[in-house]
Amino acid sequence: MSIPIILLVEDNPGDVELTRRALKKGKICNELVVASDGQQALDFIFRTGQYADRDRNVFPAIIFLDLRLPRIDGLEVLRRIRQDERTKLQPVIILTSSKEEEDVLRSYELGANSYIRKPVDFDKFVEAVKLLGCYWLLLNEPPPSRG
Amino acid sequence: MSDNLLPLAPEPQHSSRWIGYVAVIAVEVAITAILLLIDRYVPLGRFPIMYFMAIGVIAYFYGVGPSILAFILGAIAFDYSFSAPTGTLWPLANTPVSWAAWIAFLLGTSLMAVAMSLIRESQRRTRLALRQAEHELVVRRQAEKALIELNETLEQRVRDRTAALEASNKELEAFSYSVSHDLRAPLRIIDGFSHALVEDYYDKLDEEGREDVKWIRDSAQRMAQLIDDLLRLSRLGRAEISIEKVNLSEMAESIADELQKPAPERKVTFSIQPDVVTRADPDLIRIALENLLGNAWKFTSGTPNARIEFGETREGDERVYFVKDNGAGFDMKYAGRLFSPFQRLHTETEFPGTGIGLALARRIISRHGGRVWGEGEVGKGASFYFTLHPERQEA
Repeated sequence: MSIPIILLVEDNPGDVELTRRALKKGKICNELVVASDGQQALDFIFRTGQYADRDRNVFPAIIFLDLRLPRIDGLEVLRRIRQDERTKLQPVIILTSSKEEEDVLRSYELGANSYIRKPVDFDKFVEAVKLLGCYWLLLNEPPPSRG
Repeated sequence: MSDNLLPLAPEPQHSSRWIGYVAVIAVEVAITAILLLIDRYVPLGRFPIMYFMAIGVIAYFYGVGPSILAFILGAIAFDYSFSAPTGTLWPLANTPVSWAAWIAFLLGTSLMAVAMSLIRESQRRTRLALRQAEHELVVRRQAEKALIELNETLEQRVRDRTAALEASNKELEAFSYSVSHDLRAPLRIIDGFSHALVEDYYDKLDEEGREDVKWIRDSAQRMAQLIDDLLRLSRLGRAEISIEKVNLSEMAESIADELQKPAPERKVTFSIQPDVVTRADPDLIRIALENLLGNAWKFTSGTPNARIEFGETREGDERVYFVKDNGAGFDMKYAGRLFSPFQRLHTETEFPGTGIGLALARRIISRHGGRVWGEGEVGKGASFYFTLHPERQEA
């Protein structure tokens, strides 16, 4: 049986906590796994390193990906996800800081599924997380190979 | 040579002229001696051809002065030694031969002197022209070389500057990114947890406590707004400009509608001159116009019979666009600070804002090669004027 979780790749503990709250407020109750840098995120996604023997049934239904990360940055994480046959359809939502940043990212055409601006206003963040989170959770049926 | 680039070659020096006169005397004495010697055996002296030649040579080599001396000396020597009656300076014996000899002498020497002088002069001119040409060539080559060197250094400097600019632009980009990302993160957390505080401890906080938290959240928002404005300003400076025909009147009308829409209770008369058309970047010029009209709108909020005007005038042959209002105005002694970012002439409670609007407008207008300035009087209103010259826009 597959267990859809949400993977949050974020190094700022305050943002992690706020995202956790936003998900809770948005009634998204999937388990939240937090990777605090790009390497850890890739390890989790591809079951390598510290996550070499994690449960195969657990899969990230959505990845929330911050861009500024220690070791491997968010863009590189996204690139590797898209390069790999197993994960190239993985829904990834990029967490951006500004509209302009979002525009720049779009121009890279790296294949992010959506963007969520992290506004300073918490209520707006909750709204965005709720909308996009629900959308991708409902849409993302686990791929058959993982069953 | 009227367009002399350089002084002509110097005239022969005085010492060489004296040498000319000395040479004349020597030549004349020598010729006379030789002729006297020859005359003992063959009476050639009566044909003064030797003197002609001597004068010619002198005229050629030493010029007019020595040739006149040569003529005088030659005449005396000829007269004394060969022209009848010889042995005296009395020039003429009353014989046809003597007359003929004198006429021959005078004609011959004059012709010789004139001819040789002409030749000498033309040669001198040729020489001078040649020298001048040579000199010009050298000067021109030097100038050319200097120009090439200058071009090379200029090119190098342009390359250096461009590289430096690119580097600083990159730095700025990194800085902006860092500002937008890192400076906002703590604000987000301040806001988020203030929000969480009210939500989780609503019952434990009294009215004042909730009010305090609202202050915290408002300030975080305001700081976020300031950061956004700062970023916008820095981006504007680097945005690409694409110039096309823009109808400023239509733009002003639509901005006026947008201002009026959320505040239908405000009664403001917009007077917008129709068909003001210019060439500009439509997106950028709209931001500038939004800020100018938005300011007018904001600062007339406490004015009864508020009136906002947009139009075009001419100053000389320059087109000047203006936005005028009859609102709060400002004191001209602060006019210099109007366009600096985050400078405000009113308190936040009087009129809200971060003080970025006019700075943005100025940045945009100067990117269009234009100027912007303001005139105002406290309580009487403000007028803002700007020009646009997209053909001389900043790079």
